[in-house]
Amino acid sequence: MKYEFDVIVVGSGMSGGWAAKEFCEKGFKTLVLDRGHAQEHGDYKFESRDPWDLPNAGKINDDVKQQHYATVSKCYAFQEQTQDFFIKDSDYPYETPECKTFDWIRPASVGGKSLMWARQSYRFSPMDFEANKKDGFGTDWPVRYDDLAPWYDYVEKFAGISGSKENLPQLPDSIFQKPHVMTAPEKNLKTRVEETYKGRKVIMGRVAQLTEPTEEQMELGRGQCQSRNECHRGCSWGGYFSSLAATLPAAERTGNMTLKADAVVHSIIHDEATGKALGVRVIDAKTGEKTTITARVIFMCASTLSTTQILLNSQTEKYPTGIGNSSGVLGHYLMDHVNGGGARGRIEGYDNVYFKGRRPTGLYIPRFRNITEPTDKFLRGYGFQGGAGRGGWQYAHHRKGIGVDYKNSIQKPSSWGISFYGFGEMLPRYENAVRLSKTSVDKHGIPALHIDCAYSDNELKMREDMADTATEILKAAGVKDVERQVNHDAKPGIVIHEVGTARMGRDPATSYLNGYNQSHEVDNLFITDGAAFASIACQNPSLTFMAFTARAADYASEHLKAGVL
Amino acid sequence: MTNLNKPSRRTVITGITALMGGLALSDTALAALDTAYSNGDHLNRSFDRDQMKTIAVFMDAILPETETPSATGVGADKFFVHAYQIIFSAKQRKIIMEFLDHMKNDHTEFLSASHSDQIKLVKHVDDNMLNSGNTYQAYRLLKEFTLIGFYRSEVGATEELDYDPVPGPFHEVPLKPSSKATASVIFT
Repeated sequence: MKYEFDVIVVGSGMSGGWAAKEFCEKGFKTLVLDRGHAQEHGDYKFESRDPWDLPNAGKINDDVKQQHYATVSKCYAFQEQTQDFFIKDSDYPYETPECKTFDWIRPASVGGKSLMWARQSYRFSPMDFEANKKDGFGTDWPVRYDDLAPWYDYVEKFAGISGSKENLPQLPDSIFQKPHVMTAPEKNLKTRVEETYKGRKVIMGRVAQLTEPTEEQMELGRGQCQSRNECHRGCSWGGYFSSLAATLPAAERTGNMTLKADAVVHSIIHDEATGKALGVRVIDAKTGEKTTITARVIFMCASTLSTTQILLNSQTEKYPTGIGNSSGVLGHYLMDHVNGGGARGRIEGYDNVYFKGRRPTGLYIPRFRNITEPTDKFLRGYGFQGGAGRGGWQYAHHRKGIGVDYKNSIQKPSSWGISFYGFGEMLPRYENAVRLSKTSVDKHGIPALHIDCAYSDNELKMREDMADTATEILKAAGVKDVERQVNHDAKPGIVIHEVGTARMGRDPATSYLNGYNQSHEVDNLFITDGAAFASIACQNPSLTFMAFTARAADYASEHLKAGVL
Repeated sequence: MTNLNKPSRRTVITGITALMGGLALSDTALAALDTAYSNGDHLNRSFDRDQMKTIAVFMDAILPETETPSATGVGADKFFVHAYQIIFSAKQRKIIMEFLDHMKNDHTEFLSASHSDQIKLVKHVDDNMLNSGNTYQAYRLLKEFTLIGFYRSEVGATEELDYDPVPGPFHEVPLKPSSKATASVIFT
């Protein structure tokens, strides 16, 4: 059979960009499909636009939000300047049981969420890959840290991660560019916290922002981050890592990539005679035209739940519940981080200290629970993200005051404030699952997802502990007016770290993928986005998406060359 | 439809006892306004001349002229009209229009009052701005958009504050007496 492409990559974001780069650089004709609209790097509509040139000052009408963007408008990065990067929820509905919210935040353009991500980049640790085996929740990862470590090295050199070496077993160091700097009150907090709690460290947030761009990065047109903190609008300087700024240009320059926007993948075509995936069925988002495209290998990188939706919708006689799903685990073990627990307060002094620039990261407190400080209240643990700063005019309308004194007070930065909020590991549970809706379809006629996911007692206890320990930490550092914070309304999904619905594992009877992100049953089908995760750890997952994708692409390339695939 | 069990909006308004020379909105009066309801005529009209003047008085009371122009001096009032038409939800439009209707119909002295009396009234509302109720919600919205209109204007950003679109790598600097707060906000 003559295939149209060597490889089809579904999705062009964090994972898809890496798959495209790796295959194209290895000489394979690669088709990248994305449901979203076209978006060229450097052609970002709102980038560098002065505030007085924003038609609506960054605001979006609440009625419009409720009607069309009811879920994505909950994302911190959703505003007038970024609206075009977010999906219209009304076009792509999904269901949840009543009183069981799941906030599914989805992108709308080529580049996916790599355009609007918060860029926090942390490796998983050896203990993260052993956690399931140790406490029995979930299935054992079929890989260990040492399997992935060289691939972390590989992607970090290309992507560019700033951070400090800390030699922490629970948070392995990356190949770093120099870290961003702490402010004086943050340095004081670090000293006092680390003196008080021997197992707690306060470090600079590790972030995919160029502080010392390499020759390779500059060749792609990327430059040093200029602390504009307008990343979510798109950065034509490539100061932060996105597929549009980095991996897709690298793929494009090989001449081997075909990138199609507005290409909605309906399902994967399965050839029952060979047992392989033949290609994909595609709907043109603009015209509705339906086509099929064939390739020797399919890489699913459409994001955890979108990939799973396509897999579930790829039904045949052999696989009535979705391609490659004899195990029945497809759609199950959905996880997101638990958040909503933390603390905030006011720092006295440092009145004469200010800063220049808008630092694109904050502080990080790596996990200490059940590492240096055990607890019997819950399994696993959490890290904190936060930092100190001085507010400006945008908060002033909340306080009383009018007139000259009020206006003059706004002209000066406010006093220092500080906050930390936890990101905790959610346990993999079978009952946290997605399936296809029996009644609801999207605007292309594709069955919507039904998402049934909730935090368990373990996560809720963890959230309370986050608030307790964040309060302790701030008090130990001498912070004033410390307020313990617990947001009971925070539900899964809103952290936008969803993973786990086509998990890797050692046993084909209880997992969907093997240790190379390869379907146990359909050997030319790979899933390298978050769907593949067997556990979520407490670190932000994108760096691990990148490492797994590069590793799987290398594995698949070798097998393509060998004629096995 | 008329709800006979509720006082009409007009009944409520005419029952208001104003303080401070008939200008101030007393807590009782404001609370009474909050319980009134509208017949919906606010939804399809914009502000008339007196309402625009009222907006301007409130805005310039909040952010008066200093070394830089006042809120209306940079066009914050015109931005508010745009916000009313484009940015506000139907609910927000309703509470704003009710607030301005009340000021127009029941505090007819407001626009002709002395500047100091106007300031007194605005300060009275501001002092109670954290109270619940539509009136205070309307005021909070007006105040928020006064600040947005001013500090997101070119003058507000570049003259009143420190606007630096390309600051370069983040670093600490001393805050001098002449230093100004940054005009930029995160995620904009």
